Amino acid sequence: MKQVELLKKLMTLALVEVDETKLGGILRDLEKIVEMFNKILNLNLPNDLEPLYTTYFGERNVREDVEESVEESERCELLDRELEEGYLKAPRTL
Amino acid sequence: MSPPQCTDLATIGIKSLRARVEEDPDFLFKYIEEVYKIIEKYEGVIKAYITLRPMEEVVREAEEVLKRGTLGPLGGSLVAVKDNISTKGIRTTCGSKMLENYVPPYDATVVERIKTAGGIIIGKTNMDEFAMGSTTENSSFFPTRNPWDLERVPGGSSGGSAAAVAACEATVALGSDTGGSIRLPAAYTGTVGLKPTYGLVSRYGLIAYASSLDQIGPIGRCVDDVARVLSVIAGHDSRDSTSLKVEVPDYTQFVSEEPLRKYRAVVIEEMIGEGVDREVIKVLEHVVDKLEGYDIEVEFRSIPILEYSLPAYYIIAMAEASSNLARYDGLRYGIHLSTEGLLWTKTYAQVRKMGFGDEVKRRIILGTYVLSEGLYEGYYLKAAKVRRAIYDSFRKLFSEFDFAVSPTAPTPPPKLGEVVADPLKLYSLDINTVPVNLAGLPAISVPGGFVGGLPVGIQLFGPPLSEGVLINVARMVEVIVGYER
Repeated sequence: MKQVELLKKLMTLALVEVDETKLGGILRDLEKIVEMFNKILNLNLPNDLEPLYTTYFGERNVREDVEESVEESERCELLDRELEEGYLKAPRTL
Repeated sequence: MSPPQCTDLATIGIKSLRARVEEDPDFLFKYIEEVYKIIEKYEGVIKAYITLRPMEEVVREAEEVLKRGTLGPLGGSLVAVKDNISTKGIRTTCGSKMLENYVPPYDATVVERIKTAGGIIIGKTNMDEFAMGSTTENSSFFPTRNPWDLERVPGGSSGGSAAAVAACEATVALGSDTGGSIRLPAAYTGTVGLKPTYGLVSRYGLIAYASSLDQIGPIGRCVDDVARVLSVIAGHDSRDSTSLKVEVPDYTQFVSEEPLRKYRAVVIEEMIGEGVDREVIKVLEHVVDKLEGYDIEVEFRSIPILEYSLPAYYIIAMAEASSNLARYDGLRYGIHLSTEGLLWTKTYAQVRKMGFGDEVKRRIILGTYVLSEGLYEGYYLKAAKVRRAIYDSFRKLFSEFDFAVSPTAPTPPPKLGEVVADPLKLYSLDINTVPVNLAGLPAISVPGGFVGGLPVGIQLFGPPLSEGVLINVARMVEVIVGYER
């Protein structure tokens, strides 16, 4: 990851902004870290080795999908947001 | 040995506290007063807490505990809670400006259980922002100092919890451990920290960093305290889909100075290799020699794949973090900005620019990078395969041995500012702790000795659900070292 353009593209995808003055330092750090990541690129592993995403091997453990009632006042307090007709006001998408 | 902040009264453990309060209920108020005296004197320098409850509030709650008629297993203990664990009505910041004013409307399962067991929440402890760090210097508020040497870090990310316990500003604490965040601070502060088997303790109410790795666990001044808290917080919870349905024993039955059965132990060569301080290895050798005196057979084994555990861990953790932290957009959670006239991308990016610190941004960007098209197979998928190889290696190892022993950290605690500016130096502190999280195993860090007056932790880890064995051996290490507080 050598170009500032790539970093800026990643920042756009990640919805993260960084001050322009900090870009150089962040880029240097990221390059170091990616170099550490690259250590696994050339590692030879058996072809049939399955990836492991979780170490939880218990039984399926999912709650019933039952709606819980939440008081409107509690909702407002929780979100500390103004509601419009019971809905949160979101930024525009277009 | 204790750091200079502690007094005899404040050093008391859960067992003695409970016994004394049962004899004389007023003792609980004397104890609370003593802890607050220490806080008043030292907290301004140590800075273990982000939010400390006023003493009057804690005293009122102590009165409620005493009125119940039964003290409960925690008997009025003062429990410090890491600030990424939800506490109803108490601000929970996760060490971040993003959640600076967030007050959860519910308690995490572990907090509910602590309260039911007669524990009193004393405050919320400092941490690296969103648990991303190993020194507690990445807190958005202030760094925490190590009570043993105020120029040094207490480790992280649960550094506030460990420092509070070490300095006797709490009886015990809760931390969370994604790649060593309980064990590393425990090692650096001369406390005992246990990371349970993945799924043994509910994560309901824990603010997620990397969900396949995160676990909540106890930090205490002695193994007995840790065993008592674990007995309270462990066990199935239907609100966590990764919670194990297993019977939880009373872990205090394993707090024995003698081996409860014949054990076979292993030292993994990669965990005492390059980068591990020679003096730290000497501490380990001393403990291992003494364990052999208990008729424990100790052998050496090599697991070459561990050489790849650090990159695999950080790839997986950052990938999961980039997804988990997507919820901080100012709409669902986080700083609220006016949305008038702005596109959602601009609004979210602004909120995240203002709310997240540099380390969090770095990890989200890298998480996005390793999951991006064309790179996913090389990084994330490969890391998940390395994780499988590590998991399989440990499974094989623990078919032969009961537990493994290693230094918790490669060096004694660094000075403030010594490693935080260099991400690779910072990440390398986790070299011996991350393999345990990748495999979902239980591990405990217990004081093993001192180097230059600074505590050094010994890590014991074993197969899933071997917490009892680890507690037994950790208690033996306490006796070996003669470090009992």
